[in-house]
Amino acid sequence: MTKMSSDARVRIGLEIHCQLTALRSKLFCRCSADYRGKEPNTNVCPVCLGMPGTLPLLNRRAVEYAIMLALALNCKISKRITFYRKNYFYPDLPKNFQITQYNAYEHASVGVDGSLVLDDLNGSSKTIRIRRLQLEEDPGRLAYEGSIDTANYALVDYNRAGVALVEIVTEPDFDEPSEVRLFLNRLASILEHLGICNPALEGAVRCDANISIGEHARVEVKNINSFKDVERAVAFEITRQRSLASRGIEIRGETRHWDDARRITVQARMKEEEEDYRYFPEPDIPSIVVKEEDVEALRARMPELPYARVERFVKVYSLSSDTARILVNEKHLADLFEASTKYYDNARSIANWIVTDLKGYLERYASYDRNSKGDDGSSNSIFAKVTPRHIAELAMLVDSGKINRVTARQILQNVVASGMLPSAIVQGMDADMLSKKDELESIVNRVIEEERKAFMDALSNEKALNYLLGKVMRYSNGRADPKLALSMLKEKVADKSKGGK
Amino acid sequence: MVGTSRFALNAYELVNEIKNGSISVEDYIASMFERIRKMDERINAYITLNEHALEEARIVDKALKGYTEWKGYSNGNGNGNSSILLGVPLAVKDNISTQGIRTTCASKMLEDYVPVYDATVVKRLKDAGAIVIGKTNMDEFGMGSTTEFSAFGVTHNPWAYERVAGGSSGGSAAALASCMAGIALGSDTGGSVRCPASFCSIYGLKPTYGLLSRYGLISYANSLECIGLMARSVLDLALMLKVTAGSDMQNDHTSIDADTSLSLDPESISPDIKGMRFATIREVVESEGIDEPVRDSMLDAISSVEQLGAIVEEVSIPSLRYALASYYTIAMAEASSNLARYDGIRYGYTEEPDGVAWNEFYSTIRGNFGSEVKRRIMLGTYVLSSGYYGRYYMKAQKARALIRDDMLKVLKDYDAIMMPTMPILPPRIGERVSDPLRLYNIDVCTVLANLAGVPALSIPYSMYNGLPIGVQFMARHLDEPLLLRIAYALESARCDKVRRCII
Amino acid sequence: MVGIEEVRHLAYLARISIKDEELRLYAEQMDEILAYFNMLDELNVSDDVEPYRMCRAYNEMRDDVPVAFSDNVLSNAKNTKGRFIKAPKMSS
Repeated sequence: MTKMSSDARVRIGLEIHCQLTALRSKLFCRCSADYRGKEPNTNVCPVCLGMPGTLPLLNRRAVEYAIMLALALNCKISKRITFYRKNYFYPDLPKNFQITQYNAYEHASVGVDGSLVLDDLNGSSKTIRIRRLQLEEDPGRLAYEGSIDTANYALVDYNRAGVALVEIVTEPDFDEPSEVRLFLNRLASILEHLGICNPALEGAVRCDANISIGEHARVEVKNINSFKDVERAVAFEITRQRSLASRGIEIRGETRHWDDARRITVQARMKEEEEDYRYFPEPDIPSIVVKEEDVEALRARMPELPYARVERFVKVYSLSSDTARILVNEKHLADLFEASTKYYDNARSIANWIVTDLKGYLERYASYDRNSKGDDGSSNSIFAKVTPRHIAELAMLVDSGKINRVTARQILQNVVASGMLPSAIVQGMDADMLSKKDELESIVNRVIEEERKAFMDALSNEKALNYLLGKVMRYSNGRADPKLALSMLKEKVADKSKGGK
Repeated sequence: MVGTSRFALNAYELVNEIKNGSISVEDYIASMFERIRKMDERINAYITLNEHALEEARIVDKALKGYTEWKGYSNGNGNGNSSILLGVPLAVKDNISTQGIRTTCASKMLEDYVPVYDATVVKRLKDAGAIVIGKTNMDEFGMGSTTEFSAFGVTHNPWAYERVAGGSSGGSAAALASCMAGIALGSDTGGSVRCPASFCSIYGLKPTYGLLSRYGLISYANSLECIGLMARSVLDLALMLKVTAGSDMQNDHTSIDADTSLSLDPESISPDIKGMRFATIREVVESEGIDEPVRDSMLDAISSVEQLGAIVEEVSIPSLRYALASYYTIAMAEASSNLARYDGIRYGYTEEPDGVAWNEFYSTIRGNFGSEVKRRIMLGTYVLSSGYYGRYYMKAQKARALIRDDMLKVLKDYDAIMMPTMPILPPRIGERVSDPLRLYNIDVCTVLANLAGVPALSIPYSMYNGLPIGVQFMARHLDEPLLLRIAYALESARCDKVRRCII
Repeated sequence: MVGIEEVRHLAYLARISIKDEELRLYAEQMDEILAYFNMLDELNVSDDVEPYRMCRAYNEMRDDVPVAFSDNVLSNAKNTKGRFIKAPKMSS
């Protein structure tokens, strides 16, 4: 075996599954596409349970969405879209085959040969090629009593079975874990702008990665639950493989799982014998003949895509392309920006406010990963309180010199806690900032008394603290210094937890 | 009407008797059950009888007495067919889904499976007033041509008990021939309706692919199979087709939208075939596999249609040589995938999964398929395996395209293709089962229509030593009315020579 | 040629238990049938011949309208735990 130098080329490819969460029904039956939070096996019908004699019924809108996404990723649209059966036995698969697409014998998948340009790579840009984009059905889900190792059997819930997935397979064009993260964020923005998938929903976007270095075998990493973890898993895998290679140990072509608790990849269970998926065209779904005019009609229906929006922001609002990109990368920020400009016409000032202060705040205070299993929607609740008017007022107050940036950031914290308008908060501050400890003390005590339960919760849960802080701000008509108030609350909590033991 | 002769009534005659009040549906169904109890011990046509049939009969009787208006069981579909099969006992092959009635596919794997929905075709027939009397025996999952591969025992031919009734829809054909049903549903993947129709001396129609919804037909080979119609008279067949045909895009995206209802009115079917042009196929005529009595019967049928004014000529279709290989490759490939779902988890035969390793669980449960099903699943698995796809499955689909094109070319010049339904007389029970390939060979004439997707009809034509022989016609896509005309012409011309049931 | 090992592998892929004493008979029968299928190999078709396939126009698909199925579709499941269906566990 050849010893490899540590600078041998790293190749990373991605396989991404996106649920079309904007659909109302499943891909092949009329069950609701919204399976989340339902009692097990209540969102099922004879078709998605694979009952004998049932037939798949292709959802037209799913095909339309998939074509739109393929167009957004510069794919060629296949002239004849054909579904294939992938045959394998698994308890979460009601028919013991998955209806998917397969390109070995023809261009069957919705799209092929696409690309996505990463144009914000520290000044340079890079094209990631998309090998194919296809539609397929999601399987059901397995659960275990206790743990998978101790359980005697599996429990199956088919509510998710048959939900529409788009699978995107890239060429191994990534060199760095950071590029992977950038790509995923860009893709998420496209999904959001097309309005076909909400990446923030648990399990809506799932990503597998394959990594190889030099001429060594390719390793697949599955079971990665957030974009952050994809980056981590890829980085870990590169380090692991480099270390093996430098010691002359063979890198096995295998499938590994990401263990997000230990932040390492571990070898997946080995299959007993090689599987053979025996792909063949699904005879119950006629091939769909897609004409040029069908594609053009869909293209015309597509909303503005991120690239165009960045360009427009630069042109119309005179933003720097960096600022525009950061905004557009997360559709809700871009939307907030555009809406805020209706209240205050200094777009650049508003944009700066959002990309530096608001975003900074979000990253610091909210458990904020746009695609994470643990997303509890805390960023959503922030957006429920921070409206375009809030942002416009803050920018205006800073621009007019009434407040400085530091104060403005405090006010933002206050806004998030209380939902009050910045102008009102500033008025209160002008009158008399409650910054002395003894003045605040009575308000803090009152809140703790009234909100006994929240206070007890705060012993174990930081979020309850934020809730209490909001109350303090409200009772003080925004005059309280939030930092001081928070530290006082924390102190009380600390005292209580010491005393309570 | 008294005595047993009323069981031999054609459906259209029965409906008249029922509508004019000479027959009560409840009495009729009750006495038919009695007949079944007596006769079916020897024939074994039924796997399950419908416990609710008498209730349903009473509902029809009430409607007839004017107490209530008959709108079909599912509150009326308003398609104007709502009473044309009123009270007719319907036998349904046991691979067609019937809500609340056990549907086994003659397999241990589904021995206690009770569907939660009706097949579209069943629903349409029920809405037209037909009463499901029971579920009929078949080769397991439709895999066979003799109804010997059933987990519920072999079906005997009513004309000769020691012989097979044909298959795989053997139970439906035997039930009709022995007057244990008025009309029947079968399914036809490679001849499974026409073969038993021919062996039992009744009519068996395999419609144009997609004309009858497959929703509820338990898949064996999706791209080949159709629900087929079986009856003792051409007019009954026409009534059934009128009720069941037509698009079902709500449930089946391979169904086709065709308005054939107008030309299917029994009154509009003429027995006139003067000037029609029929083709016989040299490769079939000269085949060594055709029994002498079948060949004689075929020659006689040719002269019969010629006497009725038709022109018969011989053509050659060399690609037919590949028909059986193409057919069985595709059927087995599709079957291997379709039958993967029988794993004991959601329905059907099962065992306790606690502590059992999953592969072992699957293999143990699925070990309960019959030997022919196992063989076909494994062969289908083989032809789809990586490395073999191009050599078998892809080639088979290309051969199929060639055969279809060649047949359609012939059907451009001729109104129909004419050939025997089965190359042999009904074999003795046990005679053919041990040699699979020899058994597959008897489907040589029937698979052509399935490969090409065209309609085909088996017509009872003659008897040899008391054994029925059928003749088969295939027509262009959606030309079922033409097939019915041919059959009606032969039925009218030969009414004194052909018996279609025994009482 | 289909041998006993090949039948064993196919039986694994299809998850069908076959008794050891039946393997030989299956192998022989399947071998004979596949030998017959081999005639497809001699069929000379050009690449232009499209395999048989059903096609539909783009608009002939289902509308995206959800309809809940009301009947108890689990009525045939025998191994259940609450609303879950019990299945064998993947072997480790």
